[in-house]
Amino acid sequence: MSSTLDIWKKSLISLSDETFLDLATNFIGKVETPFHKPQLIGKLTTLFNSKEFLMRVEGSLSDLDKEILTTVAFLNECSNESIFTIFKNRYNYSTIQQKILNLEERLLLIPSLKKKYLIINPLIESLLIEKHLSLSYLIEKGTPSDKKFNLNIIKALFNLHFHQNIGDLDKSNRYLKSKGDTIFAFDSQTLIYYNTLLFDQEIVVKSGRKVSTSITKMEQLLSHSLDQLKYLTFKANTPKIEEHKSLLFYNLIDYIIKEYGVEKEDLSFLTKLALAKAELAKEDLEHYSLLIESLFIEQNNNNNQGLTKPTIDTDLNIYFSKETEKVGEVDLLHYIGEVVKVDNVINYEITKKALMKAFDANLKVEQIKTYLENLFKPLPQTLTSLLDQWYDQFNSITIYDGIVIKVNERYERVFKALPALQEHLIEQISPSLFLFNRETENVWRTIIASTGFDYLPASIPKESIEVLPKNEVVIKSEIESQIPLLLKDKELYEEQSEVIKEELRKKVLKRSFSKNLEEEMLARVEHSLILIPEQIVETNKRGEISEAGGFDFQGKLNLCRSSVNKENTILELSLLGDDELDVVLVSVKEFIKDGSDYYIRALFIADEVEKVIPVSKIFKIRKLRRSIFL
Amino acid sequence: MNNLENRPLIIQSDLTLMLEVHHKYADEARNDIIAFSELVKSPEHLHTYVITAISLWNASSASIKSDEVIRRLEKWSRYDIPESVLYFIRDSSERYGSIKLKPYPSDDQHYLLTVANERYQKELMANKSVAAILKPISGGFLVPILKRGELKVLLIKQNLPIEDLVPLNKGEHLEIDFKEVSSRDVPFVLRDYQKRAANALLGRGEQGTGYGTIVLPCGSGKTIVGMEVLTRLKTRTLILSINVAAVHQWIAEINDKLDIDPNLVGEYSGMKKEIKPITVATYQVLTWRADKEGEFPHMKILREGNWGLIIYDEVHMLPAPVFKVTAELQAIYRVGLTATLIREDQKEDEVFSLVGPKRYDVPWSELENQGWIAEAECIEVKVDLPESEEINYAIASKREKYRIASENERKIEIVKQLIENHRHDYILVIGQYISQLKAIAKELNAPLITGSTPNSKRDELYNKFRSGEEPILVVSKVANFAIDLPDASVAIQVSGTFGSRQEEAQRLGRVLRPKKQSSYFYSIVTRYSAEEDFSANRQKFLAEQGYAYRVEVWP
Repeated sequence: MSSTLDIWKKSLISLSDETFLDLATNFIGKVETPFHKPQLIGKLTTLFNSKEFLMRVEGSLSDLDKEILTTVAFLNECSNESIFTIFKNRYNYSTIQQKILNLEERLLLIPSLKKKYLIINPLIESLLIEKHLSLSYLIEKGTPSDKKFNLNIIKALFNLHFHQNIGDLDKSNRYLKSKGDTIFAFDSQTLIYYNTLLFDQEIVVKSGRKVSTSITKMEQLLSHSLDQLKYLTFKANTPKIEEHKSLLFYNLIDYIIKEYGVEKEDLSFLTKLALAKAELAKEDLEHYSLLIESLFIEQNNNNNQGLTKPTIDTDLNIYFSKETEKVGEVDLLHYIGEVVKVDNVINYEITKKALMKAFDANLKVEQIKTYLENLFKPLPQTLTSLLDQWYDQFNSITIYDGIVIKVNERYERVFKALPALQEHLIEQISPSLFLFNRETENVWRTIIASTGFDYLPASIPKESIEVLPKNEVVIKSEIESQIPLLLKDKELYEEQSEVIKEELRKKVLKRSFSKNLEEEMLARVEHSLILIPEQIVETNKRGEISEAGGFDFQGKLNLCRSSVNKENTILELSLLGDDELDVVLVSVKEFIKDGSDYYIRALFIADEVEKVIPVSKIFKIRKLRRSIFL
Repeated sequence: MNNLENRPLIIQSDLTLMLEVHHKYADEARNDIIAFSELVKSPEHLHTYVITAISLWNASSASIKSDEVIRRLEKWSRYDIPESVLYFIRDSSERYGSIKLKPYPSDDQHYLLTVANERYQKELMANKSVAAILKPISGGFLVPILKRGELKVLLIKQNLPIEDLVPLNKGEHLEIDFKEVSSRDVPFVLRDYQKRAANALLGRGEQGTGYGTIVLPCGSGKTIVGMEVLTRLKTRTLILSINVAAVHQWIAEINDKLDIDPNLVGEYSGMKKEIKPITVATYQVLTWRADKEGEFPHMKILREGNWGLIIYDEVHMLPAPVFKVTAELQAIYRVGLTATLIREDQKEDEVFSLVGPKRYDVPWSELENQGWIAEAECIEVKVDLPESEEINYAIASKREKYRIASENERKIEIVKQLIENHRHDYILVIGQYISQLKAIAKELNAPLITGSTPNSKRDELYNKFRSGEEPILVVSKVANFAIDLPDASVAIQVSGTFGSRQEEAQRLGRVLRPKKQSSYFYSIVTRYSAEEDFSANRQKFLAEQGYAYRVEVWP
């Protein structure tokens, strides 16, 4: 691993001679010859290690400097484009572009060893991170939130699939959008994220036209920790991204919101940062923002106190306000009741229909009774007798593998006497066992159901509810060491830049520079390019901005022509509008001559759209650099 | 009250309020919320109330505005009030008072409707049915006086409440008061909840009061509440009830407890056509007509009787044609009385709009705890079909299955055993199917009352039951409502109207008159049959009132 000094040196060495000379001239005055790069780098290194100089660097930092430097520190390294994307709705392109150039010229940002990326000057990076940079320049610190995965929602959703068969993913999502609010006090988008998890984990599966549910898989899902469940929900709703990117993105958000808290209006900005860090597509910003909001931000601040003990009422409605307790490691309520409401108080109703379905899924009456008795002491006698009765009724017919049916005495009599059933009956194996024709299963099932057996079991169930081994999902990835440091509060430093600038301005004016040079020196002071008096020296070469306007048509043509497909060149165009000049930034893609007319095909940087512009419509052109390092 | 656990109310996002009944502050909280919410169900532990636009408008009309509603909720709520609830309260309350109905002095055939807000005016006129009623004039709209009720119903459906500032007609004066000692020589005192119910309806006589529905359990004395309203308004009164026996009961009660010349109390029924200052009529006679397309000849007593008060007994049974005329009678004081405001046709809203909103409701269990209605034990007895019926049942259609199960002949042996167990009690055997009831009556050697029993015979049998001469009566659904048999303490239901919740509750109501011993309500149901599922549905209302059914299986 390279040391900070190595990185610094290698970065400077990689610069073109012209750029390097410009930079060196600014910091160490007149450079006699460009051929002593190592020597000059040594001088620059000494400068950036000097206490006096560093204090002035610190004092020169503006809020916008800190915003951009924090962004780069957060990302470790990043392209100009990433910075533009992140700040898109906060500042205009020109402001950011000029600021990046400025930070480059001040050697606060330098090229990384990866081409086209910027890093913070490694000689001062730790100083800046420790003392000056903070996420609080970018996002308002909120109340740290450790929102947990809501088990009550997922259980209730499973309940709807299990008992009410609300359809495949699309259909059930539509159901949740239109009717979700009759049951849930949560926005439909959150419900859809949780619903997607059920399908992603194959707890609810569409097979042909049927949708089936698996209690085993549901229990497996519920064996995860709440943090793991939250990550699985995130992953289920971002299926296309690679595991390591998904983890990095998720952990960053999780860590920051848990430690630092974020105001809701800054969520999208944080998401942009994390997307850039994980190198994920910025186009999905809205999707990610919604998902993050839903999974990480508390919808209300209810501190659910009271009514923690479940209550069962005379109408067999069950109410509780937190999680129902597990008995024997398994919570059965969402299997044996029908969900009525998931709100401050959660409400399930025990119904015959739900119980029959639960029996069909191989839940035993004793298991259910034990569970309920542990929740409610004493269990209402009405419920106990109903349970026994319903179980008895359920067991009056058992179907094995679709052909062998075991029945109680009453059904034995009915089966033997029912005329419509006889053609499907192959033989009576024993007093309580009948062999039926597999081919006509649908028909004889309908006939049996029509005798008044509304809850005919599907077949002998294969599932059983058992405690499954924990299925751990690794979701923690290490948070880079600078991230915790960036979560500190803004530190208030005494504003020194004006004091320093005033001192430097006086020194510039004392020197008898030419008018032009004096103006340029003052501009450099203003832009914090000059920080110490030693930098105020007459130099051999300065960067310049090319400009053409007004009647200098040829000048304008030359600037346009020379900018075609130049990656590092941006033109600032002042376009003649109806009433006033529009100033836009473009990169030129093509120079077009059509007879005596000239046009450029230009990419408007802010909107990312291409337009063809007649040069005659351009009042003024300024040629800018994207970066001094490109 | 900082400790949140000290607060008994849980407010859900769907506008329901859940009150923990056993909480030490439950009563105080209930008194605070009842003014702007409606009781939905009151089982043993958690009572559910709901805030509706109508309940908020009623509160507004009683000067309880949104800020006060929110203050009361905040006082008792264990959790933060959901934002959606706060929004609903503010928005609904804001709507009330924007549309006002006032007298129009220069035209006694019209009222004046004023609309304060331009948006509401547009919403109003966008509804064709509403626009057809309104005649725009400067400063508002003219509304024909007979369209007052219809307009209210239409606008409530549009979530636009009318603040009705047209005073109710006073009606012709009638001097009437309660007797201190009834004719049966029993000292008479109005119970607190009966007073509260009448107060809730009449208020202090301010606008927006004087009409509404009172919901009280069977046997808790709804008739007394009706009579209290009558004595306070002292005006010509029409009482509508569901059958002749009930009419006779009303007349008997009035003569017993009110200080009025019996000649001033008349019966208007199929048997008699008297119109007196207090007239008690049946819904049937009002809705009788010679042919399906014809006029209702007796409806004119409703329209033209110059009544100052109309009492709708068992208002949940109000037939559609009476609804229609009630819409025209919005200038008259009105009171609806019921124990079970459940209509299987879901038209509860129309009752609220036309007769008036629910003004008073009290959990059954509360009156039971106070001893105003009898403690009742509900027992469902399950019995198998006889083997001989199993195949018939298996091949029958759904409807026939229900009938076969309901008429299960084995039920008779259970009835006999139950009667034996309660040999010293007054027992009603209630059923749906006449053939089954006939068989039971014959087996028990007990009198039978059905729809075809002449009214005089019914009265005679009810009186014999009251006097103890006939301790067992077998009755069809004609005895579901409004029959006061104070000493009945055991009801045995052998069959019923499919899943009718209100029928079940009303039948239990027959044994709820307070008495020294507990009452028993048995429902005999065929096991493993369609009757079980219907029975479960029938029991819902009572389960929501806190009654738990004990289940027993007949061997």
